Amino acid sequence: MIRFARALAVTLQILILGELLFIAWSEMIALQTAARVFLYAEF
Amino acid sequence: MATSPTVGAEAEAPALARFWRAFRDATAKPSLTVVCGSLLLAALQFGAVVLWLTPDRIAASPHGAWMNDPWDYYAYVTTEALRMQRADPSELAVVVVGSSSTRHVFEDHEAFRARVEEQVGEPVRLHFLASGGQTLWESALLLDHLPEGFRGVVVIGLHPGRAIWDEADLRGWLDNPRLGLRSETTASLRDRLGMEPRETTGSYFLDNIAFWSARRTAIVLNWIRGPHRYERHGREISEPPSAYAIQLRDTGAAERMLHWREGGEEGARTLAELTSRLSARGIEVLVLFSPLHPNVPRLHPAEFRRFRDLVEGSARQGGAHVVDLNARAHLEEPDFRDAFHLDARDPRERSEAVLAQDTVEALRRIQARAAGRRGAAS
Repeated sequence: MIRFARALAVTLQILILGELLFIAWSEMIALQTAARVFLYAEF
Repeated sequence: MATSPTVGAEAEAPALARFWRAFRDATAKPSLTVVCGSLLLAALQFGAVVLWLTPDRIAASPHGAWMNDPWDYYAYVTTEALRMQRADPSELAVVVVGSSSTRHVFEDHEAFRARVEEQVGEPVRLHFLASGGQTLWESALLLDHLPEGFRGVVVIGLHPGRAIWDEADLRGWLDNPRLGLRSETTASLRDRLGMEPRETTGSYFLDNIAFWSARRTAIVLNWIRGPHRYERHGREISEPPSAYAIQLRDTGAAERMLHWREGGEEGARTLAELTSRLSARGIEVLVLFSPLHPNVPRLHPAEFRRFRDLVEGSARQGGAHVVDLNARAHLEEPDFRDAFHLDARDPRERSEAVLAQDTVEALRRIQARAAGRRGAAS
């Protein structure tokens, strides 16, 4: 039971932190570039 | 003897408490496993995107799957250029490049394709690669994606504002490309502008990471709720003209025309090189003077004449045919919404008909050359 609780805690942390890291990484690239990406030109 | 429910709950409570305590302690304690595992998971997701987002997958999916919204013509054009690169080159095709001014020459580009196909008498593909603000150099980048042995017509739409060699503008889109593509054109432009060369990584996604990062949320949502529909006519048509657009119309797009008082050679040279390169491959090239509000030549006659002379000279030098829409489709003031965009269905259909006629003639020249070669061989 105790071992299962520890394993569950570590797995959840890996999933959440791993996902946050990935999102932060893609946000960082997007913030560096997307603001300057000229998505819509009038002419 | 049966135990009462109260006694059972009392027996389980400490086990749950122990579980929770162990869980909480493991969560609070710094762990190398968690750090390494998180980094590995993020890297795996990154690797999965690198492997998943390939040009073949993009070309095989609907355009709308990659678009930020129904007006994201840059994603549309990127997808279409990748499709063009993978298409059967032996089938007749028409490619249209240019800015939104060229895009609004067409009321319905699928109807245009069907009309051309019917008159030519064999299947014709259309690769519609016109996008807002597209410069001549972006058009060249798109045309670098023509497949080997391409058989067809290239229509290069030009208006005075988009064939200007503007270093700040060029540096801007080389740093943050509006299209998810790279080619010889972008590499040589970076070199000419003294910019650091961009190494190719071997991964399409990594080479175009800025373009795709800007669309990451939309792509995920599109895969869940279905691709965006494609809006034929852009926001610049569906919304009232901005004050800037009206000012451009009323001043004859002054700041853009002034460039042609003395400059313009760079654009003309690029056009001559581009058309020569295409003509040498047996491709028919039509250089289209895209629609221009009559105020523009009226207020800037000398600059307009110079623009026309330079472009016509380059087109002739490159073996291209010139299509003057303003004159041939009889475009007048009421037909325009602003300096560069046709406002209504009727002038767009008139323009489309003129372009269809010239495209059919160009395709027939290709058919005649092929028939001549077959005759000589037999």
